[in-house]
Amino acid sequence: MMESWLIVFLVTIGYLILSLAVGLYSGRKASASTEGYVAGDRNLGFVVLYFILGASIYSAFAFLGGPGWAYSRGAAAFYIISYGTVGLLPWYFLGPRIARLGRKFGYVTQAELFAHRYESRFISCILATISLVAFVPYLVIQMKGAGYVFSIVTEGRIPEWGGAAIAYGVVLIYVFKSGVMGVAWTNTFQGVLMMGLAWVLGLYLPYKLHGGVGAMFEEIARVAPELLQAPGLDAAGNPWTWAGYSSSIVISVLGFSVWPHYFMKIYTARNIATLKRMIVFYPTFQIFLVPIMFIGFAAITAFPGVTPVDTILPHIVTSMNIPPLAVGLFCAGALAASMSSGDAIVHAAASIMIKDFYGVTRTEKLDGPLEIRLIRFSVIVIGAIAYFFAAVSEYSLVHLLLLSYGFIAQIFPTLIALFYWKRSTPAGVIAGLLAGCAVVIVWNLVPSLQWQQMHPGIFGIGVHIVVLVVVSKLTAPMDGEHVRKFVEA
Amino acid sequence: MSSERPEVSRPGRYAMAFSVFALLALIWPIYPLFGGIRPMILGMPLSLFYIVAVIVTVFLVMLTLFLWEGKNNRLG
Repeated sequence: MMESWLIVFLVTIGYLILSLAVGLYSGRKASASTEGYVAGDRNLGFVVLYFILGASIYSAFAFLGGPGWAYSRGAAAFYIISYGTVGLLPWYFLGPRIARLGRKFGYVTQAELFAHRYESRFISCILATISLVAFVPYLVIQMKGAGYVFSIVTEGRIPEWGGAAIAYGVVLIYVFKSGVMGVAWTNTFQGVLMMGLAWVLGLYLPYKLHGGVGAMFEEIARVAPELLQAPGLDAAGNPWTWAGYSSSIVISVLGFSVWPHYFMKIYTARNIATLKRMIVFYPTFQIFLVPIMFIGFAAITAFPGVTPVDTILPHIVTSMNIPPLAVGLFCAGALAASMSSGDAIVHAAASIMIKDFYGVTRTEKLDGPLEIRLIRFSVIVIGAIAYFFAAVSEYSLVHLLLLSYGFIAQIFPTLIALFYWKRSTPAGVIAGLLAGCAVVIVWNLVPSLQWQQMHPGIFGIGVHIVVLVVVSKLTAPMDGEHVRKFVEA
Repeated sequence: MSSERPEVSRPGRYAMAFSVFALLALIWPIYPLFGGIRPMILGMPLSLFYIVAVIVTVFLVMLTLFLWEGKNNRLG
């Protein structure tokens, strides 16, 4: 009889080999140009587009952190389901315009559109910096999640740094080789696996531990009703404020549609109808998060006092008498959640670093083959930097992670000005972005400025809009002919 | 003003208004009205059932508006 940890390990390795095969094979579908490597030749269909966006957002945070939130903070976790439901809707109106401009002028990144509209290389550099600052801590968390899963399933035989290296070795190989096509098709495979597992575990665990979902919630309502009463609890275990809950949703919604690695996927759509159909179907992906919440709720009375709370799902899986094959599938699912976000981030970060930062600081244009070589090289560099923080450095990135959504949300007012406000000027946009980010930093560093647990990003957005309007009004308007290409796109 | 902008169809305008409404439905002050525990519906507390209901509503309404727009979408 094979030892059970070995079965779990073999299932996990089987998943990694399949991911690698899918990732390497899919690259053969795209051309060898930058447009092929970064934007999939603008020819992605509905199903792939749905999964590339769905699976990139459901990261290790959703798979491990989601149940952790439900377990420790109850209804507060519903904010995670809520923001994704409406987060992509701005694309329904702006997406077609962005896609058309992308085709017309050949953009493959977010900053290319902004830099062209405002005729400013500096804007490109600011956006690239904001993106990279937000991406790296995100990527580090994904790697840590992957390493953690490996170490649990092999009962410590593979250390966390080793597990992260194996999982992200696979990611770097298929992103290096296949670019966005590798991200797209592996995300489809990983997304299906993840959704299947979420439903199986999310319905099985309440049934096994409590006799059903209804019975489980009845029990929680009796023992700890404060967990089911919206908006749940804050991190300290006191009732969360409505201002805190609502502002977290608003900032996440604003940030959602402008995260650079999602935004870039607008350019990959085959046509406008495909893009819009994907946006319409996107909320159905949120339903997948509901069983994830059930997992956390199931543990409240069955496994009290587990810390850190993010480990609640692996804790349940390893402490119940579940067949090793099923545990292996769970690990594959958790790795899929981590890798399907990590691959999109690493690919976007590399493209942004070369196209929006290095590329614009040079006087002559990069030629295609050299550009792709540099982007591939950056995939490895960014992977290595994140790995350093994940495996070697003891430096905590929690603070940076808190800043990232506040930063990213600052791109939203700029996007609106780009399309709807002819009078906005480069100076106004730059001043607005910098002021917004500065406010987010200050509000994070000085806790006494807090009010009702309101998200710092809200203050950033407020200051951003005022500065954008005032500075634009004080500076000379842009050439009307140029601006019309965008406002009337 | 509007003549300088791309024409927004009627379903497109409804979609925009509905999107804003959907966001408001998920936060204060509308969500608190449905943030309690009882009645439990389909085994879920009201606070969770309501969120699920909003997700399904957003999907169905946007799908309807998308199909209504019909021909415009195929022009991309």
